[in-house]
Amino acid sequence: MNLSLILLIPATPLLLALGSLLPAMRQRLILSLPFAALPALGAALFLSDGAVALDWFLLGAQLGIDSVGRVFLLFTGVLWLAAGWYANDYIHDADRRPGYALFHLLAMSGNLGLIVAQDMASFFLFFALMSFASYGLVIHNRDEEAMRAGRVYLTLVVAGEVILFAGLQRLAAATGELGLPSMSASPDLLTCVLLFVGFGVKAGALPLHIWLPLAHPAAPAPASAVLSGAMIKAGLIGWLRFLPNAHPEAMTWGEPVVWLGLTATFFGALVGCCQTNAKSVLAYSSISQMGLMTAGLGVCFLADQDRGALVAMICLFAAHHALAKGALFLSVGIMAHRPRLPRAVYWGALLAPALTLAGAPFTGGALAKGALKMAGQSMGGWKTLLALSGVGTTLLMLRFIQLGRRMAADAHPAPAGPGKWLPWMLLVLLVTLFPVLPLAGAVAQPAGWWSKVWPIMVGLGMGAILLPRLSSERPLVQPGDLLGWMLFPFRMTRHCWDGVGQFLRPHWVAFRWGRRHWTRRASRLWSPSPGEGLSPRDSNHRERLQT
Amino acid sequence: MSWDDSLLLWILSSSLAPAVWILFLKEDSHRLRTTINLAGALAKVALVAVMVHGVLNEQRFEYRVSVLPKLDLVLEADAMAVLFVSLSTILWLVTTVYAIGYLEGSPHRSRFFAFFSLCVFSTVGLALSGNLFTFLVFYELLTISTYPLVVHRGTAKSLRAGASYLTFTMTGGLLLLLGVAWLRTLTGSVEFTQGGLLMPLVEQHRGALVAIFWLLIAGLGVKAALVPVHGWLPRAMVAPAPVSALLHAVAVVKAGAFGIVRVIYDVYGVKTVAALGVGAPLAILASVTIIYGSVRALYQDDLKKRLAFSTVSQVSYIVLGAAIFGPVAAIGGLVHLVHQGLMKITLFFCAGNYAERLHIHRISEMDGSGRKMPGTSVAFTLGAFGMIGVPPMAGFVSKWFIGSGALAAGWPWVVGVLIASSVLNAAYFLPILRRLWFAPGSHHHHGGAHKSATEIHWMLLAPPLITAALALGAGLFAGAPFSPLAWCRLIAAREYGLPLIEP
Repeated sequence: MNLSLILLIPATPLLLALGSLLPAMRQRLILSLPFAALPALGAALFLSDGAVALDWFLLGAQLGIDSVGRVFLLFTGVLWLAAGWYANDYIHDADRRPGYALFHLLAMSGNLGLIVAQDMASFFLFFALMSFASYGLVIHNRDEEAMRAGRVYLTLVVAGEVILFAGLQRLAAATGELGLPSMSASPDLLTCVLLFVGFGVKAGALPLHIWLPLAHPAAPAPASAVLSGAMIKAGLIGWLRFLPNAHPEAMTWGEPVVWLGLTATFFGALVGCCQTNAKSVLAYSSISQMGLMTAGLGVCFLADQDRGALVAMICLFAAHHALAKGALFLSVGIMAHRPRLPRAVYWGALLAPALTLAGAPFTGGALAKGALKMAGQSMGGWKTLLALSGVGTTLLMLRFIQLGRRMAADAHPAPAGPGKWLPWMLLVLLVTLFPVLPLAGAVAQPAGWWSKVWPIMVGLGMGAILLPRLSSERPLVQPGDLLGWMLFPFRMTRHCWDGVGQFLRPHWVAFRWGRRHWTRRASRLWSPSPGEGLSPRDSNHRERLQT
Repeated sequence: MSWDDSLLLWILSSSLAPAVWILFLKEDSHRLRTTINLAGALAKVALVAVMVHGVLNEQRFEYRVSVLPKLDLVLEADAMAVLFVSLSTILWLVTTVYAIGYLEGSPHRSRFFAFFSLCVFSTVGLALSGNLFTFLVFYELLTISTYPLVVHRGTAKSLRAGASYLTFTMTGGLLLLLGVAWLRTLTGSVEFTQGGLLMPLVEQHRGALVAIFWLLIAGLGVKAALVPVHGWLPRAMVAPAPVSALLHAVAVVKAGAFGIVRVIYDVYGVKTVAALGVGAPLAILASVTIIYGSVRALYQDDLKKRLAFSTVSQVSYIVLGAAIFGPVAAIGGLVHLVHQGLMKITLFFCAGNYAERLHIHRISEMDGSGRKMPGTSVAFTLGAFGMIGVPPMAGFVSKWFIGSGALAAGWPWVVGVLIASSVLNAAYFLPILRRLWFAPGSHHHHGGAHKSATEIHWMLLAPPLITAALALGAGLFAGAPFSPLAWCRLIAAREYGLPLIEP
């Protein structure tokens, strides 16, 4: 089939987004959201591998599909489809629907486009489109919390973008072309660090994850689902595409990357359990799971051969996490209603993604984790650590359900409409059927059920003891954990300087830095500013939207 | 005189003739004045199209007249001249439409449009100059013809701004004159030559050449608003919006930058500049200007003032690109001449529209303006993203090439400057965008703004939309054969004597 159809993948949502220029289209635009993802799914299913060169586009672009891209296209497409469908019901405030649809389409175009981009400039273009457009999704609710999350998010987006710019530029200078680098290219260490950090902001790698627990929960549920399920993986595909894993010195970076990833895994679980907002718990779970993928990437660096198979396993894990996390975020909107389905089905559907994420036997999670275990089997302690991560995930899922049940206690009396539970069920079904999907066909279900069961048992045991003792009112650790500490240098500089100013004041009055000084501005940027966003009159807007 | 020989004269007179004619028109002959303005602008577009076609096919256009023995006024159209002439011509047409819409009903329109045309006449003359002497003549003419535009409002503030403008630019002109005169005594010729003409003198007159270089840069740097001689530019933003737009995008600031590019490529030659070792200090000066302008912009609440400081910063990209040795950076610098023009003129048009329709001059008053003026605000958003350097806007292409060129030349610190500038640009543009689109708007308007079917008269809305679309297209289709980038590749290839250059 004609490969230039690939162009339709990013172009369809983009052209639909142009519809918001026409007043007649504006209110109906949101109806088109699920369909905008169809070309991506069609291309992933029916187009063969290959690429088209577009010399006129940007600095000469190349769009194509390869094995990594196909997996990413599939889960990303499904997730955007489900989220778009769900949003039709979820976002019902007539004022907000056009805006939501516009940013949803723009971010979708960027997210799908970067998967098929096979050169630096167009990848960077789609990455930027996605990042900036999702700002509109993050601040959708316009309340104080969302506006602050938006500020933090945007700061890190800009930081990530410029670091990535420098990294790509150095990479292009080293390889002498704008195409994807061959995996044995050898740019210098600084280039690789810049690329790792630039994509790490999106992937929520420590300590660049600080925006994530604020932004993902602040967005409306369908947007959280794509942010945490699909867009977070843009960082991962960036790593896979641009970090040459057969670099002569890759061996030396492998270990730090593995440890960074594993730290994120356990850190995410630990801090996530201390949250009091169900969506924050899920956001921390994403940090934790991305940590596992980061560790997988490190394993890729350490391996001395057959990296293609390792990359395929990481992709499998990413696909599984995307679907499960999407289903979980959508279930937040479902739990705000009285259950409509039979109790057993309802709870089964709620628990299925949670169980599979924890890696229960015979689930997609066990399969994905098995793949990851195989990938790093040469490393000592790897299997045990991965099993232990299951304990953390079980705890997170317990916490999520604990908080979700509290939400269900004062649920909206009307049951959720089919516009909500159908897309949710679609994701739940896909997650449940993950082991038999052709996507996972290459990997066999790992044998031995005990290694999968004990982490869950331990997690349940610990949860039973710990969770009832955790406050559900005030989070033990504020979402964004290290955020406050990051401002410390600014605050210190200001205090020291002001102190000196006080000392000198009689002689030099103008010494004290004013309100507009940059240290003060910088520390204000990330702090909540009361009175911003919607007035108290509208502060229950969020609840109104959710019901 | 054949048609080919006189083409350049026709191009010049297509703005000189309207200037003279309009000066003698009565104030109320609105229709005739508009016709003359538009006819002149359209005629110029057609003539320039013919010239572009010729230059692409390596045809030579030259016009030479002797003023004194061994001192000629030369007009010549090479690839670089064509770049600047095309930019001025297109933007002049758009700005004329905007100015007609903007100044409708205000006094002294004949005076305004006469000098407006004269200003473009000088800019185009300066672009087509074939030697430094001709360049100097038009450079001074530009200074003089812009002054009435800056002080057009006639208020005390604008008169002060005008005085500051004259002081700075006259001093600059004087330094330039000194430099040109000194250079002429050394070489006997100040013709623009591809690859430069001073290489043979490097051994003998090293010190003098370095001194002349800095004299020329100082003279040109005043108009290009290099730090520390940028002071006039933020003050000159009291001029009416179309003037600011033209001033910041093509006429004055660009004249300085274009002059510096000419001096580096066609008077000294890139190899001579490298041999004299003046490239690195110039690059550092440009970098300081880039950062300083952005930092100052951060602290402005007046929209036009913030844009003015942003110009200080952005124009130095051109100088930076020229100061780095190597064809790739050269492409980046040259293409930014066009890209910055397109983006900045868009932003100034938009600032004018906000002032005209909503009486908004300060950024803190812009809350919720996006919903009231969606077309203008879309254009502003595109321009702002371009300034930050986000793809697919044109600004990204310039930054990419300057950065790649710097890495190729072994100056990785330049990428750091680009990054810092992007961050600062984001820091002063993104909050404006947040106010435009996401802040709840104030419901009371100042003055007579009222709800109507269209957000603003089409003559004010179309220009920013067109230039924003051009800035988007220049980036999105940068790889296409007729993009500004493609043309700059041609220039750089000719300057460096190379086959066509890949990024």
